[in-house]
This record gives sequence, C-alpha cells and structure tokens, in this order.
Amino acid sequence: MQTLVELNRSTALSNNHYYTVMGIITHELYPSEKFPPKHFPEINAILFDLFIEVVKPQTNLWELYNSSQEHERIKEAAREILNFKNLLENHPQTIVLIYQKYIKKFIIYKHSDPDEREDIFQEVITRLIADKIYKIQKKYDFNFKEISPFTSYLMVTVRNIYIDIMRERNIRPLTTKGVEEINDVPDRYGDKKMINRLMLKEELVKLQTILIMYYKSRAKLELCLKLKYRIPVTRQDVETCFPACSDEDVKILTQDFKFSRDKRIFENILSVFNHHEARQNKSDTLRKWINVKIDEIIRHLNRTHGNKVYSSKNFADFIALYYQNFKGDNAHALQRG
Amino acid sequence: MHVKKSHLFENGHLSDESTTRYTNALLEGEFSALPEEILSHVEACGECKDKLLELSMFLRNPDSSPLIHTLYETPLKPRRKWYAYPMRLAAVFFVTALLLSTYFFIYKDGSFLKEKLFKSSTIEKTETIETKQNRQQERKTLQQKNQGASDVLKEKSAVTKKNSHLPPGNFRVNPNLESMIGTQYRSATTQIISPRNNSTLSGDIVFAWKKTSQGLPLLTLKIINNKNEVFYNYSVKGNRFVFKQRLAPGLYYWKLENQMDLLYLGKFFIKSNSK
Repeated sequence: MQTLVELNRSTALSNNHYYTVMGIITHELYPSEKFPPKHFPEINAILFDLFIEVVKPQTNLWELYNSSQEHERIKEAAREILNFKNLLENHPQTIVLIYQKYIKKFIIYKHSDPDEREDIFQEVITRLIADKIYKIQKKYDFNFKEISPFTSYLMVTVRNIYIDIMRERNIRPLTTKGVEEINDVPDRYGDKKMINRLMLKEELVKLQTILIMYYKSRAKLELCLKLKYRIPVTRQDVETCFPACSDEDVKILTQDFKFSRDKRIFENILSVFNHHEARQNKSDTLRKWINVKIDEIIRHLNRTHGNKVYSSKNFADFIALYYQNFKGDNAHALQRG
Repeated sequence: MHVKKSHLFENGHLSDESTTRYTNALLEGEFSALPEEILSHVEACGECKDKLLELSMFLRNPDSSPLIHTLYETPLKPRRKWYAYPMRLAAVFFVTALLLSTYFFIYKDGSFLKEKLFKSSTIEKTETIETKQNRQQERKTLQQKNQGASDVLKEKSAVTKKNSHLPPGNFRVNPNLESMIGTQYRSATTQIISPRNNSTLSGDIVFAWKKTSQGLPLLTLKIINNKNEVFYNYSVKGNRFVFKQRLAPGLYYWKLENQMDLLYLGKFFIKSNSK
C-alpha cells in the first residue's frame, strides 16, 4: 500500500496539476492558520495521496489529471474529494492520520510518564481507527460548520479513550514520575524566567477559565474575592454584580477594607447583597459561601497539576497577581492563539 | 445531525456534544449560543469544570507539556505592600527598640557586660557561697575596728560592681579603710606575700599569701576602690591568685577573708598608663 502511494506520488509530482491540487489544499481547504504545520506536519502529503488514490480509478478524471489541462475541473474535483465533510463521511481514517501528531500532543499533555506514552498513543490511534472515528462520523453535528469544533470533539473522544485505557490498565493519570526531567528544562528552553512567565500566564488563563465557568455567579464571586483579598473594588465591579445599584451601594462596597477583618467586611457589605438578592442572609453565610468557592477553585487548579500546588495561603497572592494582569475586560485574553 | 434535546448524559454530566460546544465557547469567549441547561450544569458540576478546563487549556496551547506542569510548583508571589504586615511591622519595631535599649544599657552605662564577658568561668561568684550569717559576722568584726565604716558597708552590695569609670580624685585615701591597713588579722594562719602595701602596679596583679598553720579554707578576695565600693569579688582556693583584668588608674584596697573573719586588708595603686 505504502509503495503504491509512493508510486502515485512520484508519478503525480511530475504533473502540472500537482500544484493545482496543493493550492486548493493549502489555500482553500486547510490553510496553515487553521492547520499549523507544527501540529499537522503531514497534512498536505496525506491529502494529496488521498486525492491520487481517489482519482486514479476514475479513468476520465485520471486522464484529465495527466493531460495538464482543464485546471478548473481538477480544482473542482480536489474541492469535492478533499473537503472536510467528505473526508469525515468517506475517509474517516484519513482524518485520524491528519490528527495523529495533535493526538500525540494530547497524550503528552495528559500523561507524564514518557515510557508509557508511546504505548498509550498507539492504543488510542488503534481504537480510533477501528471504532471510535465511525462513531464520531455518525454523531458529529455539521451544524457547527467549523473545523475547530471538530478538533474539540475529536479531543473529547480522545480524552474518553485515554481515560478508558487508564481504567483498564489501572494507571493513575497525571503522575509525577517525570519530575526528574525538571533539571533539563532550563537548558532546553534557555531562559528560566521566560518559562516562569509562560507558566504564570498559563496559570492565570486557567484561573480565568475557572471563573468564567461560574457563569451566573461570576460577578458576585469576583466581587467577593476582591473584598476577601482586599483588592480595590471599582464601581464597574459593583455595577456588573448589581446593575441596579445605587451610589450608596457603590460607596459601601468600594470603601477601604485594608485593615478590617473578614467578618467585619462581610458585616458591612451584607445589607447590599441582601437588598439586591432579596434575601435575609447573615454575614457568615456570605463569608462561608466565598470560602467554599475559593476551596473549589483551588481544587480545580490543583487537579490540573496532579498535586497540591495551590493552598489557601499562596492563592491570596495568586489572586492579587491575577487582578494585576487581567484588569477590565478579559475577553481578549480568551481568544485562541 | 442536530443536538439532542437533553445536553446531558444519563449519568448527569455533559454529553460529548455539549462538552465540545462549551469548550469552543471558552475558546471563542462567546457563550450566548449555549443553552441554559449546559451553563447551569457546568456552574454546579466540579467534574465537568475539570474536564472543560483541561480540554480548553490543551486546545489553547497544544504544546503545553507535563514537564512544564510539574515544573510549576508554586505561583510567583507578588510583593505585598507594607500594610499587609501590620503585626510583623510591630514585631520589627519592638525588636529594634529592645536592641537599642540593650545597647544603651550595655555600652553607654558601662560595666555590666564587660564584667560578664571577662570573668573567668573557673572563678565563682561569692554571692552563691556567702550567707547572710557571714555578712552579719563581717559587719560585727568591722564594727569593732571602726564604727564609722560599718554604716557605709551596710549599704554596699557584696557582688555587683557599680561603676567602672571612676570620677576624678580616685587616688584619694579612704580614712575608714586606711585605719585598717596593714593589720593582719588572725596572723597566725596567713602571711601576705604580695602585693605590698602602697606598691604601684601595672599589668597583671599577683595576689599571694602563705599559710602558716593547717590547710586554708576557701578564701574570698575582694578588690575595693577608694570609695569603699567592692569591684571584684572572687572565691579563691590555694594561696595565689592572678588578677588579669585592667583596672582604671587609682587607689585600690584589697581584702582577704575566710568565711568567718577578715584576714587581711591591703592597698595598692594603679598607674595612669596601666590601662
């Protein structure tokens, strides 16, 4: 099979239409902005091979391809054969091949033991090609009309397969076996400070993502976090949390609590919360609520590391750092890439 | 294929489709198209939050590696402002005040630390040995010799030195002590060899005596200034004691006592350049 593909390629490469097909692949169907070569290094070769494989049995089309004429007809054929929907419907295994490196990166991301990674990766690819890709083929909702949702969908499936493998082999994911590799990092990446900055940025985005997932209570959560950790509260914070707030409410919530104890802070602000939420809570209720939320956030952050990186002590510093880095609208920071 | 009516699996968690939609919403920052059911579920479900966080973090940066994750052990700490440490600030203030007061007590006032530092560990303070009874006995003996001296001695501490920096006039004789000079009490048992009376000394001072009868008990050697203030107080075994410390220039008296009696009182001068 491989020999046939290579033969096809060598024959086809000498043809003028090679550039026509490659143009359709790289500029129209799978541009490098959406399929960067570092994540999809083989994509052009895989798709071109598929095109040849499909075209060759069709005598008319193959003759046309070899005639070096009718560019438009070849372009049309390339679009028809290589578009993503057609690939998923008729050549799902090709999609697995295209995403091979991306899947491998996910396994590296998930699994810290380098000895087990390759084995797990092979197992994931096998299961995808044998079974799971056909399930995706059936279930995938093309109303998304985007490639990026498919990547997410595929990764959800890959994650499920990975967890299945972990359970079957009774392996605990996110182990800290790779710790001994830490010493190599500064040399490999050059500047340790740069690594720290990158990691810090990643951690801040992580915290931001967690806060976003508290969709309805996010404004209240952030307001309470600022109050608890004595981060200055702005009028905008109050208005986001309580759109119908009065000047008096803003005055109460934006006062300086630097030297106040937690209990005193929540006693002072309780009236505003009770008024806007139409409740009769005690100040301890609000104080305990934010403490529970902080514990939850710390737990989510620690789960991504597989160990207790964050505690209630260093979380205070982390929150302060977060609000130093992400002031105002955070939407831009969420944009991909 | 359209999204199912329910966005959750039978186990109550987000379906794969819902997970995909939410992950993309996180990446794009656009949540308006997400159904209420998904938003409410994620807000309440820690497990789904973990899953979405993991997927979104990977999709945002597929090159993020576990190596970096394990390397990241503690978040960088920002410097707290001074007001975040009121208690620590107070503690620092207190310690500084304590150090300053100690400094003035030791170096400005004088002799306390010097004496503590220079005293040899082999020499024990007499305070631990002397009993009240002994002191009373001493007072009685002195009263017999000189009634005037007894009033002064009552007020003097047996141990502590009062002042190492003598005022001018420290060569003036003390009439009370002067009357007892050269008197060798219980002379049958002790004979003084050095220092001789009225001798002018410098450097180490050798106090020496000779026993003339049965073995000497533990003796007390006192060095007194001309104001009858006890400067040093040593318990001495044997018949010789070398005083290695430096005294300020002036007139000094020295006493040799046993537990019951004053054995000898002598005097000597310290030269101006002896310091």
